[in-house]
Amino acid sequence: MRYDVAVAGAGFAGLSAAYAAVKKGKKTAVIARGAGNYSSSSGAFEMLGHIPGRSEAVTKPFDSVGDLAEASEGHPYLLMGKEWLREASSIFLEMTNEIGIPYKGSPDVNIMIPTAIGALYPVCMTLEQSFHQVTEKEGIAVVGITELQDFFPSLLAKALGKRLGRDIAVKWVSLDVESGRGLNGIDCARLLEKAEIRSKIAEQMKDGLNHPDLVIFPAVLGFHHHGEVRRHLEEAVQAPILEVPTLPPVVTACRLGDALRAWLLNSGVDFYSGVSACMSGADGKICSGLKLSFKGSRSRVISAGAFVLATGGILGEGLTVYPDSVKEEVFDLPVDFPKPWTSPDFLDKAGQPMSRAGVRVNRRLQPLEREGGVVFENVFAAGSILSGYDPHIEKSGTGVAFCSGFRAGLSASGEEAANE
Amino acid sequence: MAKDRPVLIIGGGATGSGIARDCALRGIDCILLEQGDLATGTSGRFHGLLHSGARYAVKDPASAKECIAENRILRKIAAPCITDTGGAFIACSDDDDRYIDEWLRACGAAGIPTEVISASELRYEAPLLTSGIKKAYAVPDAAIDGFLLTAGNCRDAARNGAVIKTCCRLTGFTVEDGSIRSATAVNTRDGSEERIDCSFVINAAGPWAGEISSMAGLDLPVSPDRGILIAFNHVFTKRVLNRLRPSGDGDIFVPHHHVTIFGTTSKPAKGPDDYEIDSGEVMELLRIGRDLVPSIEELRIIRAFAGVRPLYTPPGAEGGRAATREFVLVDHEKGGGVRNMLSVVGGKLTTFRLMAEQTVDILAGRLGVKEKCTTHRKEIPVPSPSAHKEGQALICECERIDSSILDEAVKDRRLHSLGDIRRLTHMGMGPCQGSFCSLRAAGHFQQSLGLSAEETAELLREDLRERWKGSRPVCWKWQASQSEMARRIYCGLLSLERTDI
Repeated sequence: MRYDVAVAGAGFAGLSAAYAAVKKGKKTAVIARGAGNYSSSSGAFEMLGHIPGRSEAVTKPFDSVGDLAEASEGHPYLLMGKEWLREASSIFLEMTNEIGIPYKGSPDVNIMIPTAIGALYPVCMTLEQSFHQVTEKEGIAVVGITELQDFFPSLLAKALGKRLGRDIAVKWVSLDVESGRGLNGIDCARLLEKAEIRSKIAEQMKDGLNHPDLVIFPAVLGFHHHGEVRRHLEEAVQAPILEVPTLPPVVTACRLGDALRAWLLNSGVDFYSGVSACMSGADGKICSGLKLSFKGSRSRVISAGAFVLATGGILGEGLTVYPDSVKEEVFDLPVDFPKPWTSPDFLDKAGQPMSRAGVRVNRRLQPLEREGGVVFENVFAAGSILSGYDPHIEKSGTGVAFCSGFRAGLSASGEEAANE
Repeated sequence: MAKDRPVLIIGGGATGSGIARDCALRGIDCILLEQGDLATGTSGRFHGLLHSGARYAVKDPASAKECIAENRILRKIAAPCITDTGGAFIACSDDDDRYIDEWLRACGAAGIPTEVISASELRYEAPLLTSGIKKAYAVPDAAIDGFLLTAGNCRDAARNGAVIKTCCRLTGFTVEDGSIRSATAVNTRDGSEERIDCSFVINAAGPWAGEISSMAGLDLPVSPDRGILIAFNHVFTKRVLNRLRPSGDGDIFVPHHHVTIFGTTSKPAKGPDDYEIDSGEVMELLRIGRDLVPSIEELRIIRAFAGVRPLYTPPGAEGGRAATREFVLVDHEKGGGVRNMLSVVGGKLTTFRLMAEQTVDILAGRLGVKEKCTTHRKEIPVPSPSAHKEGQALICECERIDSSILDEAVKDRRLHSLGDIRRLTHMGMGPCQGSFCSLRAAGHFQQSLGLSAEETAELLREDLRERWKGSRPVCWKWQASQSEMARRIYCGLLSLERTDI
């Protein structure tokens, strides 16, 4: 099978690359070992929340991008340039409209959303209905579901209340189902899509909430019927509901990722799942194909005009760490290996060097040799396989994934993205 | 003995807790001070081997005899914290035949039973073992949980009138006319200070014993010696595996619950809490382990940790591996030091009860107490976490811990850290190393104990930082992605690193 563009990896970066290729009318394949590692993201679009090592949160991500140079010269944002980040952000908003879950916001300003432990988390775009600046709300209430084990309403209310300097009420409701085990976010979201269960929750939420301005709810307001679930419960409490991510799997992230994946499938993208890929051959600086190994011993080769490498970093297992080296699994590309490898403080606000390991690229996102030359003319890298950033500390995961993913998809489609 | 002047025991490891129990059972009033939580020093940082004595048979026959005797006693009085795995001593093709014969004779002389096992039987049990097994012998080694043992000793001591104070660090002694009259201590959690009058002091502080005795102006030659251990995510042997050769690095594998502990090394430590490990040491130990388990470098490691042994090294004695593993009782009255202080140094967890008995015998003599030791006859009330109840939501999936088990763990003690809970219940000891359950446990305790936001965040921060010490030196392959997953959750999703402002 021959494709115009083959994308390795089905996380946000890979799907965003495939989206770009489809938009340019290219015949596209997505190859992934797993289901795509997006279920542990927040589901919000975080562009830049913290400059590593600084104590204050970033309030204006677009204006602060330049400050990243203090911590890392090779940050993907600096390579892609500010203008591209602005353009990519508006493409992202268009995309969410197109796939049916519209987001809102802009990279000019961050809003703070609460986390499940009541810390504040800076993001710039979220699902339209969840776009609320929590710091500006007076009467806030947190609703907890007794069967959901990965959300902590009492802790959230206490910690957030302390940060905002006001009392936050907690209201417990019960799904009243026999599960025989604790439920995770996905389980609860599925149950809330059932009208009869939802009605029970709505009844319980009517009582005991004192006309709040905002209700914080675990991110379990349904999947495909998100709008319906939200309307039903917002009517019951007579207030907007802000969804807060639970422990993974995070429903808000799955909603976005699954919708994008479904749109790509409908647009004719071929998905090869449960396969690992490695380069099958090259002609000089042109990569010709990928060998896909299926479970068991079956394998096949697919060829493509261009390739996007979005297999993830250490967490997504695009990179494998050995005691004295790091291996990139698909093309065996040179990998930056920071020394020292780790910081003694797990929660170091300057980040963990390990997270910055990755493939070094040029402005077009082409992987580079150690000496600086391009490895392959037709391979482009995106997402957490890129070196030079720590998404967990910067709060930049989705931002880098989309901005680099879409750009790599454009480059692979033979288009040039804007550069400063 | 005046009731308001108890015996003061320093150190809440196996030895100190054993002494407290022995005192209490003989009706001797005592207070035990531990600077951290129970068994967080050497007693919680070893391979968890209940020695048969075979390891010491050739070089240290006296220790070997003590070990096999105590091994038999502990199986009776502390059964809930012992897993009768049995042990094997394995000689590989290039190991010395003469040493094997010598070892067999020495085991016989010490009364340690040995029985031939065929190489094929051993490899059937543990297929990862080398094909180069020349000879192998079964011995009555077992696995023991040092934390539960220590907690059981303290529980029995407290039931019989002893006072156990954890998170309480000794800061000084008041010595008058050659006797210690009182001690001062600080609570490491809230910084409060207290003064404790005492009739006698027993220094069972392990690697800290030198520091404690210097507070009384005494010089005690203790050399802290460091060993590192690696925990694997599998039980690839049902028995304890020992290399049959003179003691060296990397010659013991001990199966515990769902993990196997492999160790150890012996190097002078920088101090009594020299726990930091670098990857180089781990790699070196793994290379040695290849002899018995050739694929050892392919196995999934979940953490590495270091323990510090207190070796007694009087002038002229040898250190390191050559130093005696026998314990030493130092009576500081001799040589004109302090009249009412004993230090217990060296030894091993297997013989903790004997050390306690001999120490309290001397103490009882000095105090005029007639009661004899009964610790070898009475069962230790080892706290055993109850089993998970079907239908209860699991907080820790790897080890099947639900919230009722957590509630039980804090029933009659203060919650200082999630590590305390882990040692008691094994929560978070499995392959995910607490990625999910630390947060669930913190969320649970916040509600059930009414903790403040800051207390809860600190529980979590402290726990993750502590766990990082174990995974950092082995941060490659799965452990690297596991650590990144933990960062994605705690930093990426929860912003825990931003909760201190």
